Amino acid sequence: MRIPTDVTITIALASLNNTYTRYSVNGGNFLPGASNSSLNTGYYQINYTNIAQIGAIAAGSRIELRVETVCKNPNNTRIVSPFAITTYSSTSAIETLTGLTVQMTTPAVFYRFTATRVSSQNSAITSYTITLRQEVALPAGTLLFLTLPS
Amino acid sequence: MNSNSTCIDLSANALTCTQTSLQNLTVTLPVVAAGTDFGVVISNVNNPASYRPIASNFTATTKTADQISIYANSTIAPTLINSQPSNFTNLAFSFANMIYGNA
Repeated sequence: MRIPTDVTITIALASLNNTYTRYSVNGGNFLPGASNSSLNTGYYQINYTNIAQIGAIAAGSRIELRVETVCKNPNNTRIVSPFAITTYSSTSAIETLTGLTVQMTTPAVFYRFTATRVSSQNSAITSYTITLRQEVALPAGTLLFLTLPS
Repeated sequence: MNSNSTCIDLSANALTCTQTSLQNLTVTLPVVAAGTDFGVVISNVNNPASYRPIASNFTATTKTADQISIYANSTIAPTLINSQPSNFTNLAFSFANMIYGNA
């Protein structure tokens, strides 16, 4: 399974295997799933290598793959890709599903947001200071849209 | 805000800002490190004319440069209330010399 690096895995990949990766077949219990993972340009590759170790999986089966509790959402609402899933036999690829995307629907909140001003006199022309803090870094050119009270 | 409003960052560096209406402003930010304060000082903002509390909110939104994607968005309720009256811009008086007891 490929997960774009816009989704950050917050632990070392060596620690990811088995503890945080699980799979389920046809609604059964989730079992430890991966034995090796790697970071590539633009995506994580997580290999669930033991899904069919117990026995064959029938055609039309539903397989669920999880990376549990260690994924951090993208830092903005941009559409994120590529997610991809490929199944392999012991010798070759069977099927690939690509083009999967996700998009955050809820922006983060500023965890500091204050507004102060120099003068508190009626009708004075003064300066307002808006101070913000957010969790992620912002590249140059990021736009800040401010609405002041009417 | 008024047409003479300008913007600087918290370190007094000039920022590019565009006033899109009396209440709305778009500021182009420099690089901001994660978890650090940033912001804007806006000059030439008109205070309300009375002590009446400000009735609407401050809203801030950070977006990617192409304006397609949002990083963060918050609204805060106003806590700013004027505490000093304005001065009269012109105060004059006249004095009529009257005789005590006359109508």
